[in-house]
Amino acid sequence: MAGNDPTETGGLFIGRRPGTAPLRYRGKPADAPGGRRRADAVLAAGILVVETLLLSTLWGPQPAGWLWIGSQLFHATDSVSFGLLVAFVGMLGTIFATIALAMRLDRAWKLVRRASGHEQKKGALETIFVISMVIAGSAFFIWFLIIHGPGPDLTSSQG
Amino acid sequence: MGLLDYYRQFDDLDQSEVNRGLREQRAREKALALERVPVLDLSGTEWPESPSADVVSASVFQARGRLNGYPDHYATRVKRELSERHYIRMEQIVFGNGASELMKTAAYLLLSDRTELVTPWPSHPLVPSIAARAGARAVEVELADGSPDPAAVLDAVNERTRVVVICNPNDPTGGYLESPRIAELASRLPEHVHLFVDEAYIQFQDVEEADNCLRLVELFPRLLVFRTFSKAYGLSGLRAGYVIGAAAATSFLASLAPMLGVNALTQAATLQALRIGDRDLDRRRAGVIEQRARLYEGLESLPVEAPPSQANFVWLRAAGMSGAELAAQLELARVRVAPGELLGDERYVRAAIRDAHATDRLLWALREVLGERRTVPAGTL
Repeated sequence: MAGNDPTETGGLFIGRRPGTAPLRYRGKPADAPGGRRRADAVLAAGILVVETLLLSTLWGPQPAGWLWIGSQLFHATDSVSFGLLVAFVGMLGTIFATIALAMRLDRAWKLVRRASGHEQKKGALETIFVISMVIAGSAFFIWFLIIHGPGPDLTSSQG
Repeated sequence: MGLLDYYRQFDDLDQSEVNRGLREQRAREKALALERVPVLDLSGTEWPESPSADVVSASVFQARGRLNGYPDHYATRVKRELSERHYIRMEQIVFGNGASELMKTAAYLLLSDRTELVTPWPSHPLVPSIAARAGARAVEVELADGSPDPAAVLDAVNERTRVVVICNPNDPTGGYLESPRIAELASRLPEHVHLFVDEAYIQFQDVEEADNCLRLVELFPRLLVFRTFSKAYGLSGLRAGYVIGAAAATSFLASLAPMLGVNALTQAATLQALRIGDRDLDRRRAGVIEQRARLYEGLESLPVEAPPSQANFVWLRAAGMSGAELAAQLELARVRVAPGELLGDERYVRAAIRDAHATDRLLWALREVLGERRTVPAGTL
């Protein structure tokens, strides 16, 4: 990030640090009672959980599901190309649909979170995406390298 | 309010909407500011904009350098740039602290008691005062439709005349004498008379090539052409100008140079202006020519008399009003012009030509003043 802090620019004021601008609403939001704010906080947490679960499906259930469907089509049609094509296209389709849905959920989360009284400037989509990818990737490598173990499968065909 | 509407009110504005809002706010502030219109000052003839940041930086850079040393006495780099620009040898160029200073020095060298300086009038107010300071007499010759009249000038020349000064374009009238007529005048002047042509506003004329008169110096050894950085270059505060003369007059030219040269800050700024300033100069020239045409077009429908101008100002008078009265009336309409009293003709005012906004304001003010007389507060005139 370009330094624009006066302590980094020899005292020159360059402008507002990116991301520090206050939120600007079209109008002043109506005041809500404390009970509604607490309910919104719970609702926001619920949306966040759904968003997290939804994004987690990108790293396991969706690819596995489409590979299964592809394998079924391969058996039914005896065409490996057709099975792979359907699995690949289907996987891309549901990934994009999932991300589109997650973006809507993220916007909803941001609004509900603001309604609960927090000055929520950014959504959580990117953070959840990266964390779920790291967790899913780690889980896969633990399963692949430790629990299942690659050795016997890799060597069995050669034995 | 429905449930979805309740949450939608927490939707923030994106940056383009914020910017649009800021722009609208700025437009409202501007509109409010325009209600308190400041006086538009068209009384000066210097360029109203600040010089290019690069030109200022060149001077500042020099100021942060070795100021304890003397500058280049001969302004070699500036003169080389001028030499390449005008296709004139460096020896024929003298760079000085403003064209007026150079003209004053030249006049002092040529004038003495019982000699005369001939100048068309009205013209630059400094010209008669230069003659007076040198102990000579200034002979003022009438203009012909705002332009110097060579025949009248020649009639005024006698055995006491040592110098003829022509401002071209003429300040304050803007009249212009084409180079063939300058040549004719120079050819008919007696040998004891020098011709000074002050081309302070030459960049604003659109009659002929700006350097046409410079081409004449080789034909007429007693012709000196003065140029300045104060007007089109917008460097009035630096006091810089130069004079160009014939190769045969180099010893006389050398005697015009400032004793220890021009200061280093001015040299740095003018050098940079010469190197990078052409685009600005072209833009300014085109702007003045365009607005001058617009102004004259607008003046056609008004009861004013304005001789044709080839400079960045117009010399005008209103029927039945003195220059001071017209200037005072225009001041009430928030436009300031220079009354002609100090410039040589009290019937006229001089108004600078600037941008389209200034043209509109001047025309509007003239319509206001000439369409509906206002009461001038006592003591204004």
